[in-house]
Amino acid sequence: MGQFIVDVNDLSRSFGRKTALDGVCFRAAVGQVYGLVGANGAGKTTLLKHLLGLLRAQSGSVRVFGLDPVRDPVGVLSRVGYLSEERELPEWMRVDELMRYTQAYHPTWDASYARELIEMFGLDPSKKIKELSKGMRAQAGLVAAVAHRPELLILDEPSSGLDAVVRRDILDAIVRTVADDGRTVIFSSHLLEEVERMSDHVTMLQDGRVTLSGELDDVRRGYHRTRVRFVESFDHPPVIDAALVMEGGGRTWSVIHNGSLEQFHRSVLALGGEVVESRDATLEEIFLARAGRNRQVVAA
Amino acid sequence: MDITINLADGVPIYRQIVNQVKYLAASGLLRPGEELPPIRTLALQLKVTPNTIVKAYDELERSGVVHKRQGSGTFVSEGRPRLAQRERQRIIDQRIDALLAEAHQLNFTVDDILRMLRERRAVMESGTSGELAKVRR
Amino acid sequence: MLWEIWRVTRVEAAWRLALGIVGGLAVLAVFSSQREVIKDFSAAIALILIVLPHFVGWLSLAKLNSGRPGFPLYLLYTRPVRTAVLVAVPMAYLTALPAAIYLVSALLLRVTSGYPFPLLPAAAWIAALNLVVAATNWSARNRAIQMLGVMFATSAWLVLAIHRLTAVEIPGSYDWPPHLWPTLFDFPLTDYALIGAIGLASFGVAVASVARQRHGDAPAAMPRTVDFPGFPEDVVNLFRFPCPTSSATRAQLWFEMKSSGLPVLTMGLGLAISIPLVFAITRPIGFAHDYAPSWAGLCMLFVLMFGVNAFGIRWRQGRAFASAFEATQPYGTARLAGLKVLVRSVCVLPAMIAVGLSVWASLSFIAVGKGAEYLRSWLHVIEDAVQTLTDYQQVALAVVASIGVAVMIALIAAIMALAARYPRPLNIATSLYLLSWGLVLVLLALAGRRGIGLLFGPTRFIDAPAIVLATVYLSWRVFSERLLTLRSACGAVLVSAAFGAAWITVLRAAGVQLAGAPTMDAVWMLSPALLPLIASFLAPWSLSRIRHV
Repeated sequence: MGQFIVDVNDLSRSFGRKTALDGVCFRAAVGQVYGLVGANGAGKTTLLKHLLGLLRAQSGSVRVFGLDPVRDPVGVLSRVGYLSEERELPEWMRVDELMRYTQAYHPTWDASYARELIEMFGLDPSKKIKELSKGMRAQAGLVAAVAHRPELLILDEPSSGLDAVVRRDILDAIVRTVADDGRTVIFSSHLLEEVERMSDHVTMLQDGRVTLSGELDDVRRGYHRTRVRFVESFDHPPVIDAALVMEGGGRTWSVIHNGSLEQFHRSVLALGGEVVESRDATLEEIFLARAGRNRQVVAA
Repeated sequence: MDITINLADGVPIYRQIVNQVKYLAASGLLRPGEELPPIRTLALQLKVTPNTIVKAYDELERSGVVHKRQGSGTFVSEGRPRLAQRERQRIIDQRIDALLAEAHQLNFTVDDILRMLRERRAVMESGTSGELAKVRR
Repeated sequence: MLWEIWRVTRVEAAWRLALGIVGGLAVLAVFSSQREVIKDFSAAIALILIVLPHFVGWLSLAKLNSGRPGFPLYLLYTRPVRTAVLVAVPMAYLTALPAAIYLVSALLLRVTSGYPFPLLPAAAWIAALNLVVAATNWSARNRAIQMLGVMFATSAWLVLAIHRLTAVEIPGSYDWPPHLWPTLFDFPLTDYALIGAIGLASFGVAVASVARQRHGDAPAAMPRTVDFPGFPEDVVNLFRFPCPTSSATRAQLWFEMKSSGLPVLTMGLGLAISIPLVFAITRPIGFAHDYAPSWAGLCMLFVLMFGVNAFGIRWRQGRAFASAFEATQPYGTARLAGLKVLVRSVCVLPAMIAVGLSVWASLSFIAVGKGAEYLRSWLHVIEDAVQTLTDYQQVALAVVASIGVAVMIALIAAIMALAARYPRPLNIATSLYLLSWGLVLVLLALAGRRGIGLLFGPTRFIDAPAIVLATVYLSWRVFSERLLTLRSACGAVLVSAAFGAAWITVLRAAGVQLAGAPTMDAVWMLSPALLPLIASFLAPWSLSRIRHV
């Protein structure tokens, strides 16, 4: 097993003719937060479902805690907390019944923690799930997922469609899970700001392939946003090596590029320009640069 | 501890924390021997992953601004940092080079810079929090 | 819009056509060399068989909104189409398609057998029924009204049809021989006018309620969230008892009992109570009382249907899936399957017994009239047959019945799971199976075999080998995927052995001699004993297929 609690190796999966995952490798170590980003349909939910055994690996292998989630669902799922995107909870169950039901399945259930969370969220234990609003359903699902202090917390689009209050609760839960006893969190999200704050490692999926993976700061250090000023004015964005996206017009352009800064400086100098300022790109900029429709150049 | 994170900056979060703590310590808003918030609390407050706080605290300890006491937390160090002279020189040289480049870009002379250095020093010593914003980078 | 409905219903339409034609042809073939009277009787059965598929509502349309009351094509509400058109197109389709299917089947049978199968009148009658059922399904406000409405419409339709068809009494024969069909089915214009009026009325009602649903006024509007399959909320919430937290199995038991077991039991008991009430209330009313037995029959049908969908498959927009909530609980797949089947069987069996007892009691003590006398005579036949059995044999019969019910529930649940997961291969497999069945039937008929014994041929050549092969294949799959522990497998074998022993006892009681029979026959007779084993392998395997897609 090594020191990785999640080990996905060369995983491929297609649904009919559509390829959802193509040779995906993903590893998660203990005590870290892993953020999955990607456009809709890039394969994030598919990957997470493989970790839970909801999908079988068509080729490649998936190991969680060293076990195959399909072969040994009990061994894996008893140590995992899961909040799904659709928040599928039985409509007829009441909140307190949901807690008791989940408690029966997880011997590590911490009843006082559960009570504390329910009070904090303001959930009425006697209400049925179908009477709860979308945000409260997410909160109820979250309590059920974290109250047994799982070794691995998997959240699929935890903030989708939720207001700021509930989103904050979810982020807090992530922080607490990691800070207490260093357990692991894997979450997928559209909100890149959230991923940037909360992840130690980020993995970007595009059309089922991993296009970026590594520690967040390392990834960001590989991409820069540089403001360049040229002597002459350009109608169309000038072609610079390693530039992914260019915005601006006339003499001043804002470039998002990867590769080394010195090389970029040299290319800019060669075109008769100079670097005004440079900084590491944010995750959103990297994402848009890689996943945006106009890959090479963009005129503002 | 009054720290804010700005994501649009492009500066890594842990670095922003390190810079702000350094500023707070240097300007006296954090007194020597004062305890920094525990990792969990600061992570919850800033809404960032605790490992970032760990990284920031480690870096701060490496540069001697804070020190960890076994089991009881992280505290601001007394007096001088423990780095070697050459190391400290190198850090400051880096900052000076960047400053000079930027100043040249913006058409300031070295005398302007020197004058502004003294002005900023005075502001820092009076500890006005409104000026904190300028140091967050 | 037509194209969309066609896409949703085309497979079901094909099945209805095929089943009707194949069933009708098979019946005619089986009895084709018998006496005139028997041949006429078989023609009547064939007619019933080609009409029968159109009794039931369209399953594929109902799947679109999980079988709940309301307009199934609610996704079209946002199209710039008037509500009247929105309703008219599907209704016209639902009128034309069953009628067309019936016409094709009737024509085919007419040509091959020479009997004057009714064409237009029966088609019109079927169209009317479909209109009314569709209107009821789409307009009902809640499940109870929906079910009652459909039952009422279907029974009213049946009553009128039978009333019309048995108008001429013929001594010495049953009441509607084929040579009378042209006159019986020659509906006067008033009948057609009535059908037209019914059609227009249903259309009007449907348009009115769909309009309300479209504009959000009615509760049967777009289902907001994923629906829980089957049982009405009010019944589920009737019993409140706390969920045990001591073990996962007990918690899952609580879940199953609350969500499906107790509702089944309650509804079964409710139906059982209603039967004697219906008999008693209609006693003074002559003609209604004659149809009280059909209510009893419907109740039995309902109770049987309670055993369906033990795995909780649900449909949303025509696609089936199982609950991810249950799939992510740390519980073994085989144990989950076993628990679901067990709870369902334990609740269906008493419901069936209750309904059976209440039918027996009603017929014996409350019912009066000619029809009741007839049914009572049948009851006496059954009672006498049971009396002649020894104690052991009665116990064996009970064992066969109860394990049989559990096996049936398990097999149906497994097939629904497989149909949800592999719809196309299952369709192909089922059609191949039916095709080979029909082929063997035809071959045997051509070779000169006749009578009921003809039906045993395909069971011997197709079903028995299929059962044996299925057992072997499933045991291999289940063990290679480590779905069952050795202990549970041994348990399954024991249950199967007990069932086998009881089955042999029942066969013995029915007068079948196994000792001297040739091996092929013996294998064929004993193959049903493998069914519990198949069920205990198939159920976990199919649940595993939908839990881990």
